[in-house]
Amino acid sequence: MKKLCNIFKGKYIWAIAMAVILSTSSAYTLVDAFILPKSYVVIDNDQKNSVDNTDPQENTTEQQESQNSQDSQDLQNTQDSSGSQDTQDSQDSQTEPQVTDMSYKDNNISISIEKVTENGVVYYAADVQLSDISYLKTAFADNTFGKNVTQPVSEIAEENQAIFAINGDYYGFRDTGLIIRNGELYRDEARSAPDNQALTVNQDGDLGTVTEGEVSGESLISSGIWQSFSFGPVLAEDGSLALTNTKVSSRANPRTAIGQIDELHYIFIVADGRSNESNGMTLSELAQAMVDRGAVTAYNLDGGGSSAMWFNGNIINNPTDGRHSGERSVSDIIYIGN
Amino acid sequence: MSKLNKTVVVYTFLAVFAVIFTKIYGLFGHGVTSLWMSNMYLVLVGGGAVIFLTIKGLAVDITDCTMFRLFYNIYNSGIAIIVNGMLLKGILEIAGATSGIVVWFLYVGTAFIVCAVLMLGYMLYEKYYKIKCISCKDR
Repeated sequence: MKKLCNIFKGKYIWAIAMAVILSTSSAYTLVDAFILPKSYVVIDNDQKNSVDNTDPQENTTEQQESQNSQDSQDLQNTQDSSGSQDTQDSQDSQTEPQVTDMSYKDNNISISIEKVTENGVVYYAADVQLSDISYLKTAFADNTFGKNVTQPVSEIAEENQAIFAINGDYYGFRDTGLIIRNGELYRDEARSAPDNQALTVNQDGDLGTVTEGEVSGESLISSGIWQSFSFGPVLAEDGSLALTNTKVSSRANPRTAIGQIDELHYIFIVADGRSNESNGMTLSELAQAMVDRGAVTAYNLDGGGSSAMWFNGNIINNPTDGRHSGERSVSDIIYIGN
Repeated sequence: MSKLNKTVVVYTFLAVFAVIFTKIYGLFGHGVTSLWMSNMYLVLVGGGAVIFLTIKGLAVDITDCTMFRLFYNIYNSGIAIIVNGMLLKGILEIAGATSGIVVWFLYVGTAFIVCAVLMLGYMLYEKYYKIKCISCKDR
């Protein structure tokens, strides 16, 4: 004991040792959280998942995920066979799309984007009408579900031949949240209240919300949930404002949101902010804009520097994090494509 | 300046620094705040008060124990690890990120504090029972 006491008797030796250990561990924690990319599931071109990790614990989770994927594959096939029949029919009679700077129209997809400037805020509202839910899609950066695996919205959109795209929920910045994409369960770790409401899209294309942890991801998939997004808060429900307590900043910021107006009829809003041209939107303003445009259900997605709207080969808004202009690399996008 | 007074000065300085740091960091948080970061100073104030009152309030002087230095280092380190964990948790919360590692700072910091409390108990036991102790210089 006396020896142990004497080791650290030297002045400042203990303090120096602790300072080095704390700095190193803190630096590692921050690098792990913000920078180190980790691939959990790589999606190949045939939409099949392959496990790409050596961590046994993660492998176990992935094996469960693979099992879930297997289960959901049946659902996917069922939907594909029914959905693709309609899609095939409509593609047979496909005419040349009509494209302008702010609109797109073909037999199955109609997109109309409006740039709105009011009260010091510039925002873009895209009104989208689809003939089938299969045209509303999601994609991961580098086709990989993982942590800190990122790409700019424009790159992901181009790689997926998107017509229109917005940033998603940036799931890869967090270890928690319900993530279902294209009928496959990737993560089922509930976030803590108050920000634990996830947005769901079912196979009919209807938007809904669930409280993470109250319903399992597997049962959601069984009940026909096709996509889920884990950010929030919920902006509108049943056509009324539905803002509740949240840790998400309610101050004016760049924002991205998705809403549903009617059957297969959606509204996407991306607001610029943190710039001289646009102050950004508060959550209340965003929710009000959604309701004013007829959204029955609306949900806030990742905002700030991530907020980006891509249309027909270009980013049409002005993404900025307040310090640097330009797109931020994100984990995922929501897009419209054939 | 006595060791006890130095402790008070250092803890007070760190608590004030934590408040100022939180305020300045908040300016860049675009309206997002974190209770973990905001409450860092409470741990420093509480931690400083506990060690000051404990040493000052004891009927015996334990500062002459050889083990005291180790106890003092472990206690201070425990507070430092917890505050560091709260700072990291705050940074991640404000950025909207999560990490499974941060909670270990809180666990390890708490373990250090528990260890320090056990050492304090041992020193008091030696003093009260006036046994030929291994941790006191003058016995």
